[in-house]
Amino acid sequence: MDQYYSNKRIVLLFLLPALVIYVGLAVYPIVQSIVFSFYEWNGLQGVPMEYVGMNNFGSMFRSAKFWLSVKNVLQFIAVNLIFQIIIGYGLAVLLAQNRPGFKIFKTIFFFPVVLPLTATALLWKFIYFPNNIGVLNQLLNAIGLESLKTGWLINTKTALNAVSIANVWTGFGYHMVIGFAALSAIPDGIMESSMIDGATGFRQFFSITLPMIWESMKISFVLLITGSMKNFDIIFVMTEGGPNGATHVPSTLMYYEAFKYDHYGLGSAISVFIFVASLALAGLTIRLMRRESVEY
Amino acid sequence: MNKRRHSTKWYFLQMGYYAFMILVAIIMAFPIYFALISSVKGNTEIFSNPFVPTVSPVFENYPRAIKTGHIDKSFFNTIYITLSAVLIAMLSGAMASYILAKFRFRGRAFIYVFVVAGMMIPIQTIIIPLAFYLGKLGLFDNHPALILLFTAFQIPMTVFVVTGFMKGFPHEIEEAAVIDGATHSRTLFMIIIPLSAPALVSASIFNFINIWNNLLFPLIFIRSAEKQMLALSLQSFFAERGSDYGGVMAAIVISITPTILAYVMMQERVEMGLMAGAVKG
Amino acid sequence: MFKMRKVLACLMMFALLVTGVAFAEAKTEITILTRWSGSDPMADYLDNYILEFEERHPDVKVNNISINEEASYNNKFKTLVATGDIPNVFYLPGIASLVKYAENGLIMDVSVLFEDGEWYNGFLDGAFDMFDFATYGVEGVYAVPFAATPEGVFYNADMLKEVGYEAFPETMEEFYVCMDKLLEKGYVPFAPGAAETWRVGHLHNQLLYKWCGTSKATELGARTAKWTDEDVVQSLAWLKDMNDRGYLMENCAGLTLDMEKTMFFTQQSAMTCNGSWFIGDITAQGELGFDVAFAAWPYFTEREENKGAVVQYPQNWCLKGGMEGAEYDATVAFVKEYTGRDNQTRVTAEKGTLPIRKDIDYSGIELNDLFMGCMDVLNNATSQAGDSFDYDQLSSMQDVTRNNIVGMLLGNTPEECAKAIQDEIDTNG
Repeated sequence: MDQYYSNKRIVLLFLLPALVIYVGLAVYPIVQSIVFSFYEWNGLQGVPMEYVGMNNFGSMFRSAKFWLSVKNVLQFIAVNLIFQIIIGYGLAVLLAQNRPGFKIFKTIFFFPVVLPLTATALLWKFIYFPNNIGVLNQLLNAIGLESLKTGWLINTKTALNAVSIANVWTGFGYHMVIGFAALSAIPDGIMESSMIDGATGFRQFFSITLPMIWESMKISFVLLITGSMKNFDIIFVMTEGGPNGATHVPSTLMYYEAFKYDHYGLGSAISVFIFVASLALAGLTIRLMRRESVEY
Repeated sequence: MNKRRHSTKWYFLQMGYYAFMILVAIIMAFPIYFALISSVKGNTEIFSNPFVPTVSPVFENYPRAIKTGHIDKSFFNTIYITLSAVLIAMLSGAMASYILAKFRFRGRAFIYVFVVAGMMIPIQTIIIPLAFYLGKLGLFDNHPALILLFTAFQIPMTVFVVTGFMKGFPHEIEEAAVIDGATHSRTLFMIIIPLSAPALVSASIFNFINIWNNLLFPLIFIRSAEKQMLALSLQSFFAERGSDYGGVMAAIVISITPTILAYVMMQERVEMGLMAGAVKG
Repeated sequence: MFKMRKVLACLMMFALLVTGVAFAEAKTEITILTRWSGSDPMADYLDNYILEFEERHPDVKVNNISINEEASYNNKFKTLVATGDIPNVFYLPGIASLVKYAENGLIMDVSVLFEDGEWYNGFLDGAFDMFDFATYGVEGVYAVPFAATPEGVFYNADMLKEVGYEAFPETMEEFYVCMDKLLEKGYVPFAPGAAETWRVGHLHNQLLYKWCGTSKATELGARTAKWTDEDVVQSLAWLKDMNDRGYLMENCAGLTLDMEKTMFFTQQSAMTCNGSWFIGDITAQGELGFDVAFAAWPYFTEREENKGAVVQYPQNWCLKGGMEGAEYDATVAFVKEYTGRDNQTRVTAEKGTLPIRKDIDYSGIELNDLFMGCMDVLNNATSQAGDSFDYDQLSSMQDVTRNNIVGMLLGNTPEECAKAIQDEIDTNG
């Protein structure tokens, strides 16, 4: 078997297709954009780029808007991580009990994931409309909590969380599916023997189930962190970083700098930051979550 | 599990379970309902009365949606592009993952991190360099180029999920085949890939949705209307001074139907894959 | 081994397909990028115009790569410019924002076309003035306007009658009284869809020019005036005042443009500040159940000199710079024929928009009151200007001014708003 696992020719042949496509179309351009981050360029073909060293990074780190966007994205990541994991895996546990009809539920719970963002964003706008127009405010009226009514997407205190919740709703279905797949892969025998040992409910979940699905959770964590870090679409569509810049995250800020204000260098610097920060966060997560996964 | 007589408590738990699941299902299915009822309304009615079905439906939204968004053409383009990219990513990803999960060679850890790091690339940033590069090669408006482009950005996530899964396989599962004289590719296709089905399918669902809804690549790299993709067709209802929401909702209903059908079908596959996976234990 | 070779062969085939080369075309190709596509009301007109243009010029092929949605348009345009693939004709509304394209020779100086007197002399007086960039230090005129778009107030005439107004108030003082009466009756005067920030940007333009005069925009752009100047701050304060008095619907910053239209069409709000393009929206509604009329924004009695200050947004096409031969001829023909007398007459007749020419043949065109109202406002204008940021070369000013005006409606003071806008100018030079 040692020979089988160290065949150089096979290693090369099997890696080649993926690496060629990936390096040619993903790595090459990101390297270019790292190079851009050391230049000043107004985005006009024919206008030479000017080398400015670390200046773009300097103005990025000096900008209050940038630090606000970092704070925002951390909050966005936290809300998404906590709620998507709890809701996604919670529902997966309920589904994995395999009661009659669970397939229908599983399919329906997944709907928001497949819905185009256009539809999702519009729906949530109707929910968050201010005054008595939005559903959420109408709901608060109905249950006598008028005092909580607000313009959810224009109140700087609520706007970011409102978008985060919409994103949670859009995304948790995917983690439910991952969790469900992991739970279904646990052989029935293990559960039954633990029952005989007297483990029930929560204890069973924490001592048996959780370790068995730990690997899958790790995947969910990494996907959520990197996905939320570079998330652009939902914030852009729902608030465009507003009201007055309050919901900007680095990716929307980068978009505005590069594509609207023609500061390609600064925009590239912000994207290098996004890239490095998600690498660091993902690495940290994997390290923190490292523990013996259970073999069975 | 245990076949005893059910107590009252059991019935309450059962009722609670279904009550809760149905409530969640209503919340989750709501957007589909919303899209359906809005797809037969005009703008004014959508905004003045968003959540109640209309009494005077305007079915003309559908033919208009198809005409305005060129949905008929973009629909097949999208299916062709998405499926090709998902397949290539799955295949090349599985090959690479097998190597990264099981083989021993210098630089393995580096290559793994190098590939997986691709998940962190924010695609808005690479659009300008990519446009330079593909423009020079004359690859605008070219479906195969777009397919490979999508593939490139799905490979990292595929490798991440699948490698993790394959690492859990004990060596014994290949041993018998290797002793029987099977080649590497035979082992990969006959044993490893079928066993990895759950991971491959999970990754592919993710890839499928990502590509299906991606806006930026077709926007920049496809020029002619007859080669355009569906996600961009949805954008054609948003104009400078007001939008056609009835039209966009009709277009959404048309475009999500196959995604949902595909998911329902893929879900069956996942379960089959899981069963295959369970045998190994 | 055999299977794997097959797989690799398949992958190779894809790679080969990728390198497929397009056929060379004998025709002259020109590319057009506008916002008129999809559900835009002008999309079908443009498609048809292109078909007929190709019939008239059989050796020309027009690639229409228009896209209506704003962000998509922006992404596409910026990528094309960055890669040097500039369309032959493109829509980029703005004035000062075009200067850098002119400086770098990316857009054409269209003053060479003025020799064609029949075409040039028929334009409305001063139609090209906005695009003469001499004030920015670049010789030449860099865009061709294709439509007139005066802005004012579209109002529910029935509601105003109900509170005692047969005609629209002419002065701000009267206007305030009128809006108070509307509020008493339970009508919201304005419900701007300020989630799309240009909706309040436009309101401020009106107040800025009626208070300070249209020259203020050029002065702000040229840095001879500041946003923190007393009169500019006062123009912001007027908007804030209207908001505080409830003339703008509460929390309007959370409303969208389509919500604003719905509120107006379902008689929940009395007015909407809009340009002549709104006539199309009204006609598309069919039977409304109430009368809509159009009037100029009221003036301040203490600033009567600005009574004729009118907001009109540039609607212009730019032409690619450095063209030669057949490409140049085809591009110029495309623009000149569109803005020529025959086609402008036809647009006016079919779409009810305001033509950019004075030599239109109105016989056979049915003109409604709203059209006439817009024409009146245009004819009575003593001076015109577009958005306040149109005159500023700093490309972030569009977002910065509009975002901060929204910020002011959400609670900031006019002074804070003015300072934030001025800060952006000061930090970016």
